[in-house]
Amino acid sequence: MLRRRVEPKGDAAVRLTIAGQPVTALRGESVATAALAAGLQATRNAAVSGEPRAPYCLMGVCFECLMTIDGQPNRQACLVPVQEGMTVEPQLLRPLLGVSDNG
Amino acid sequence: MADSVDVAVLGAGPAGMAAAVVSANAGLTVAVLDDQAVPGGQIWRNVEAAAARGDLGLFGDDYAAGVDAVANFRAAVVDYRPLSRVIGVESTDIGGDVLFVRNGKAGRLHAKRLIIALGAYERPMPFLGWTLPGVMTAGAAQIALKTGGLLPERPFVLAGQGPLLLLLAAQFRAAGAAPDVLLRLDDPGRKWSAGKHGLRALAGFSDLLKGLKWQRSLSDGVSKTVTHVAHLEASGGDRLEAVRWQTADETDGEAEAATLLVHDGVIPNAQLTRAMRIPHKYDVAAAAWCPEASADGQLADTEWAYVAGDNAGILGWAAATATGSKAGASAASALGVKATTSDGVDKRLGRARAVRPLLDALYPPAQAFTAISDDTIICRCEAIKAGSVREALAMGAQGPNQLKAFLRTGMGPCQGRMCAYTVAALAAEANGTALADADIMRLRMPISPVTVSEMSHLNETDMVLPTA
Repeated sequence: MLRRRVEPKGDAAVRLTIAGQPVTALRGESVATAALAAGLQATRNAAVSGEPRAPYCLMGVCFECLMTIDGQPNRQACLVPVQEGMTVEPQLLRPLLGVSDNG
Repeated sequence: MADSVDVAVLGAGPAGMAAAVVSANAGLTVAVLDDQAVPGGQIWRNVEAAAARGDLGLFGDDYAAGVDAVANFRAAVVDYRPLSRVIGVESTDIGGDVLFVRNGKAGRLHAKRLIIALGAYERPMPFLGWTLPGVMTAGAAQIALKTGGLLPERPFVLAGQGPLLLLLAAQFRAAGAAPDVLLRLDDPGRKWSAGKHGLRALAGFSDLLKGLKWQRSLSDGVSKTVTHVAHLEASGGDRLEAVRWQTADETDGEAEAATLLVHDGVIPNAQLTRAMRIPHKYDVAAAAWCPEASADGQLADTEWAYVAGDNAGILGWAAATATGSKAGASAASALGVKATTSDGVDKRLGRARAVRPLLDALYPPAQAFTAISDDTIICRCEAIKAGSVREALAMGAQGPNQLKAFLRTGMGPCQGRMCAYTVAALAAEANGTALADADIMRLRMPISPVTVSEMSHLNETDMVLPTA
């Protein structure tokens, strides 16, 4: 989906854990872009259909990037700047209904 | 003690920063609430850091203009509150209260005057497969580039239309990531029919030159460009694998894709003004609902609230600095203080207004919402398809508000940000109404989801209760 041009180094590097993996992010970026750069495909499953979803707007509009950040669920990951030592989990919940997104 | 200021500004983009600087320089106490960590809004997103790491060249002159604007804002005496999420406003006897969440706590800020400058966002463009990971808006990818230095993975398909698409294509190319496939959803034949607006638009000559330059280089470095694309479809299992399209003359095409970026222009972010029950008008040329306001931005039916920048109607950043400045001065004068707007305000605004009819005529929304196939999801939060909406309307649902009860369209966490326009168009079609006379779904506060834990702090005060 998205890849990093340059790996963050020195003061610009922020270390956090995303989906159990150690990740180095760029200071000032959001948890959502750090997750995308780390290769995470889905930030959550749609609450109704269970289909995988990923950040769509990255500016707080679409609510597709809802993640559990430091134990708090349903945070808009695109509005949360990365911080040293953060723990971030995708919200892979069981679907409420057996509706499919595509077909 | 109550948290109280003369002027509260919502949003720290071009309009919000300009409004704050003007009213602060007039000697008023000003607080600025913004959901980002740093000032600049979306157009100047992360501009200070980009300047510091020498990346300004990637994004062009319009982005670089943000360096001075942000510096002026930082220099002004303003109570700037980043990472604040506005959840609503309430009118009081004098002015009103802004309700917001910051650091996990809801708070209340009293202000005599309110300036709303919450910007714009990309017009949602539903098509089959747009919910797949790997599909995102072109603006989202631009934000990822500005903040994280991220580039689209190849094969990379860019699809859409509008002036911003031209700019984004140029920025990705400058960063070494020209799209592999460019699908143009605009109609190049429109150039001639839009010509009648050309003469007036000459007042914005430099903007036109800029657009022509982007337009000329649009396909540079692109392996395949397809014009007149009428239908778009993304497919894959758990993520995007391929993009299919059909042109207006029914030629089919397909490409493998790891990234699909889409863009269909921008619309005002009117969530707050709509939740405030300000009358909104559908602007046919811009194909957008805009809050009704006076020339200096004072919102209809209120004494204390103003709207500025693209939140009021799309005119771009230069005009936003002008309308922000005017709203700041007008709020100050309403409070009995003389304020000076920044230089050249009317000139900037005049230029932007002169060019806009041409841009609106050249780039109407690419996709008629009513042409969306039945199996396309239109409400992403609740996974509701266009066919279900059409069925409910045929069964007697009266419009967008009743559709909420039938289907929950617009009732997920995004609160209709992604589906309100589509639902309005589908309902208007079923009722045989023009969009200009149609309803758009009613919004209620809080305009952003808030937890009980956050709300429990709302009416906390520093007051010490007397002991017996």
